[in-house]
Amino acid sequence: MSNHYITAEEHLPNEDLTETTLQITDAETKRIFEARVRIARDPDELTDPRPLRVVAGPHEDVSEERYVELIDEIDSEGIDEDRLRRLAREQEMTSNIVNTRSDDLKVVLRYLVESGQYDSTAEALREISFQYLAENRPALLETYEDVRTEFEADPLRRALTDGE
Amino acid sequence: MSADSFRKYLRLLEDEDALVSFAESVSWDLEASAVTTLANRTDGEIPIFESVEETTIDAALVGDPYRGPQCRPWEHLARAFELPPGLSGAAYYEAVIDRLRSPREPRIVDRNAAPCKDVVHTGTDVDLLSIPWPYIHRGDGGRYSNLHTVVGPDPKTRWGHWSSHRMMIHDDDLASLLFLAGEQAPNLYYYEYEPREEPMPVAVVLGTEPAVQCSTEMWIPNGRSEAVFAGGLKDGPVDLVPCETNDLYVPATAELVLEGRVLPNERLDEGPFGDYFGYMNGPRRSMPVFAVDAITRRGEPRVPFCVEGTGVGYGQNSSSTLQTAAAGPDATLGLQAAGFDVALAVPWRFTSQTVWVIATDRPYPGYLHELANFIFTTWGMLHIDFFVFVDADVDPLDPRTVLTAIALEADPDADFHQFGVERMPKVPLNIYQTPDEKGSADVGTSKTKTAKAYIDATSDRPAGVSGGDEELRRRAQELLVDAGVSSEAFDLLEWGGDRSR
Repeated sequence: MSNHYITAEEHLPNEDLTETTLQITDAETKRIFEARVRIARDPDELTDPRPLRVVAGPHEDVSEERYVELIDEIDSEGIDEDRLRRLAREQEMTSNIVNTRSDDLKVVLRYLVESGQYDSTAEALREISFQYLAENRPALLETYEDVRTEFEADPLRRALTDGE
Repeated sequence: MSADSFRKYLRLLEDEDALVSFAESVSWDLEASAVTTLANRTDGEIPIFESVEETTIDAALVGDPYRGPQCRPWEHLARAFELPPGLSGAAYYEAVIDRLRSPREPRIVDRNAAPCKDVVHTGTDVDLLSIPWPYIHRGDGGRYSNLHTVVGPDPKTRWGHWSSHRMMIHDDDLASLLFLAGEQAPNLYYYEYEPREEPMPVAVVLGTEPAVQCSTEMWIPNGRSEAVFAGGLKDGPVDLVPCETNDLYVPATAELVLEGRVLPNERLDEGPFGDYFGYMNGPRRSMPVFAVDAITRRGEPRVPFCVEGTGVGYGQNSSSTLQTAAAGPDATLGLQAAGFDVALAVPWRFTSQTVWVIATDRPYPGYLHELANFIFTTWGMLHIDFFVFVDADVDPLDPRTVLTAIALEADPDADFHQFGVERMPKVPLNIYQTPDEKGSADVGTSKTKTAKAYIDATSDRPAGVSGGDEELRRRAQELLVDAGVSSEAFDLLEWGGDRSR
């Protein structure tokens, strides 16, 4: 992977620094992939800026240099929405307990609770996990949010839930 | 025996001193295409790059392997089909047409006997980027495969439909295919598979024997199989083998096969690309997604590619040669089979696909219009802008005689005909229309429209006046002898040019 990327002007968000999903090309390998990114004209506005050549025009023969910060690369399969839907559906019928079976983790979590940073080990694990996912896998959380919204808006499910 | 594999074809080129091998490492990033461009422009040997930088498998790139010599583009392919050496263009067309009149059914071989199955990768083992796809022109949207056979389903034949659609590589297992509605395989996808939300099985086959590549470039009638015409062309059956992950059959001797699905309702960027017109062409378009399920190949595959754009002007490349040496004879046969008095139908040497010259009799008024109408409504007319019709005794492979016919016979007032009144489909790769004129680039189809045209450069003299031609020739010979030319060169002077006798 190189440190220089290419994208087309038509793919850019309207506002600089907006976190967005962008199709970019690795300038060295010519691999084309999607990633969660932030774009800026000034590299100082980004934490880890890489040069980004933005091509434009009917034949993409003009370009300007900007900077990109890769937040989260989306693999070639993208996020499997069907899998997320199935898991959400299955979750309706099963326990929501996550068992880590780790003495070390339990000690660390209990430390955080006893030192007053969290009310319970469950709350600590929830918050830390979501914080990690928000920073490192935002596309997954974003897609799950869409699936969850769609799931809850399902009229049949709503009718059944209302009838309970 | 004709060259029944790409390897044998390369050996044949080597025996003819028409192949040059590069042992030193070459980059897939513009370098291989730059060397090939020079070879194409200078009529040089066909380059094979044995070692390609940053490639994880042992694979070679071959630059424009089907390109023929500039003066006789059909020559290498004629040798590959074991036709007599030294054929004139017209004789080559006649020989190929003879072969195409006798199609041969393909033969299914066991996968163990298929060289294209030497190495098989499926599922998560698929790594499209392990192949040294070339980055061909500065400004291309990505690395491309553009000299291959796309095998797709065909409800009317067991062997499927073969066609050519360039492919831009995206990632480990994804690519985009230039599918322009109006052509057979794209139509099947857009109007049959995609409305049913069903992926269309496809295989992309590289490094095929010459007969397969030639029939891929032909306009085989709907419902007939390219595979049987390839068999006719090589005068023997083409060996086919079933795919690993779908029900399609692919040529068994191929160097490399990508099996996969064209996904419904999914699009990826395709382009820009420097295509056969000789210019970079954008903008990028949303085109169907080819998801690769399996890669099967020979141990050390030879991966052919074409530097598109170098086949215009005096240069030749694979696609311009295949137009002249495969599409031309096929079109001639097709028009003759449809009942037209066509002697030869030939793509104009300097434009690859845009202009065709058709040598034909003109048995009744309105015949040329009828012929143009037939072609524009049955062929792959997206690529053709206009025809030049010349008399049946004019050689359409000789640009001088064609230009002479236009200059002498085409009346600017009466013989230049516009056809289709700006509503005929057109491939959006042309450079004379603006993006606005070409229509929306967001859709996956070609919305480009234009008029078509033809030039009637046939003689207006009624049939049966050849005696008049002879009288003119005799008079010309007399004048030349009077001017001091030896009479021995002439055939119509009874007195041997000696007027004193």
